[in-house]
Amino acid sequence: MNLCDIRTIKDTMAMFGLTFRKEFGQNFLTDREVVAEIAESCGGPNTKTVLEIGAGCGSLTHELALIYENVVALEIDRGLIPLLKYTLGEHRNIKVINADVMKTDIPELLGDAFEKGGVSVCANLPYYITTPILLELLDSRLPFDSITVMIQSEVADRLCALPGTPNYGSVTAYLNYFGTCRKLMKVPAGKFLPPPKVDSAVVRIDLYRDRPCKPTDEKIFFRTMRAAFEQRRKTLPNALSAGFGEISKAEITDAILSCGFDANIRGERLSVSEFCTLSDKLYELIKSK
Amino acid sequence: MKIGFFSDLHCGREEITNNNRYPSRSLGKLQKLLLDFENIGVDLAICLGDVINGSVSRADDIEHLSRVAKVIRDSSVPVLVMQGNHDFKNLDDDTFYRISDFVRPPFVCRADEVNLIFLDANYCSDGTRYGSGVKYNWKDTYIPADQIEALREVFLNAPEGSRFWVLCHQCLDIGVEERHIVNNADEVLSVIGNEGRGMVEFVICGHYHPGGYSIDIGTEFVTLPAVCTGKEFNPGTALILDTAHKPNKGLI
Repeated sequence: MNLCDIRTIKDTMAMFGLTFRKEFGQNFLTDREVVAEIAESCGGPNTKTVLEIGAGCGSLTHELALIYENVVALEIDRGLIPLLKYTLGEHRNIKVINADVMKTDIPELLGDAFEKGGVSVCANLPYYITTPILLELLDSRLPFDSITVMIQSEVADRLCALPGTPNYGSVTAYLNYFGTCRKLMKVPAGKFLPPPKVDSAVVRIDLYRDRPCKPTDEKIFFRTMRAAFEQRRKTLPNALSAGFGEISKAEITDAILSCGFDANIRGERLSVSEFCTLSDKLYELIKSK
Repeated sequence: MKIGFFSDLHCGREEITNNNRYPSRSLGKLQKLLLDFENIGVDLAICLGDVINGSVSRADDIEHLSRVAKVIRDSSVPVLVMQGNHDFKNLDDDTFYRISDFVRPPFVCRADEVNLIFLDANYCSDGTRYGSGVKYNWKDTYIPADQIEALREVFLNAPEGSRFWVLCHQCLDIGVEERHIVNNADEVLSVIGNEGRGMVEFVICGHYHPGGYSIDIGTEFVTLPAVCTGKEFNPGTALILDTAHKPNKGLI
């Protein structure tokens, strides 16, 4: 069964009385080469298990199952579960679960897989929910090797942006703390059924086993980044003053200068390691109060 | 692609009713049947109705329906569930599908090379839909004109060489006991014989518990024996057809 064939998708959905559900942002990929490439590139030689978030009609799940030992596929739409049994019935290495990833106990679900290692995530989700899920996965600190997601092309540009470029933002910096991000491919809107209004891109985040940046206090580190980007057009002393009421602007300026930055620098120019250095200085200041 | 068919579970509390029917044993038989389907590699299962026996109590029916639903949900084989006359004793359409979460079959769908048509004869001759609160006689079974017209349209629009399997809970095989046959079966058979242009390979039904088989108008008519019959599970109550095989070679 070619799950990327438009007629097959429509016929199969009709069999199970399904229509595309706007509330779940369902757009199914219809280019098998793209699907196979995503499946191929979301893992590596050590990947044993792939957690797929948003199985849809099972096209990506099918390709993942051909490559990796185990696939655990989450699908929020209960109506798609019988369809997935139908489309993926030939595979014995797929576990389909009807669940919302945001409400799923992933350590419980993947406990054994995490013990063996080599767990990656692959997700093709409605774009409005992709970034929250991505941040949730990063925040969970679970030992995934990588996270590969299909997202709106513009969002992909933001996730992969370099410091000092217009697309660089708080999400980019936050993501760079946990791993490195690269854009794998662009996917035009016409490759989906029904076609979305925007083009898409696939990005892969390789998570650090041992993070290179280790701030003394992670809360202060994230606070620093948040404050810097909340008022990104302001100079860093002004932006941080708004976010750190307990320290004077002069003290903040001194801390910035002591890191070797210009006093008029803006937060959007700082890399994660530079934010780490700066947040350590601010931590010292707060601690000394 | 292998498609498995079964019918007339009549799940219920009763240990035994008349006619060698064991409603309380049907759930176990269903589990066994679905496991067999899984082992054989059935890609899709279709239940042709009478999932529950139907008791005097609506709560009882809901309980048994929920039990069947759980077995079907837990199986790795996807199951489409049609309704039979017994499913309406205390429940209406929407309640039946809402409580069970069963997949309600469309009128027509494509499974591999074959088009499946689901006819619904749970109507009285005056057009009234079966349902709770409707006093219907199970022998008064009728396929409404709109379905027959839709059937005709599907056949007329089908390219030459298309393949069809027609499914209905109540009997369309005129060889079975008369009171089990859809009242206007002749109309349906006329469409199958004329507009069907030899494209209908199988007509598969349930309802008549002993089951039956005949060939007419170039079509094989299979009436499935009821799963609920007999104390023990009988593998012969299930039918598995492979869409890759053409007529007269499909029966496994």
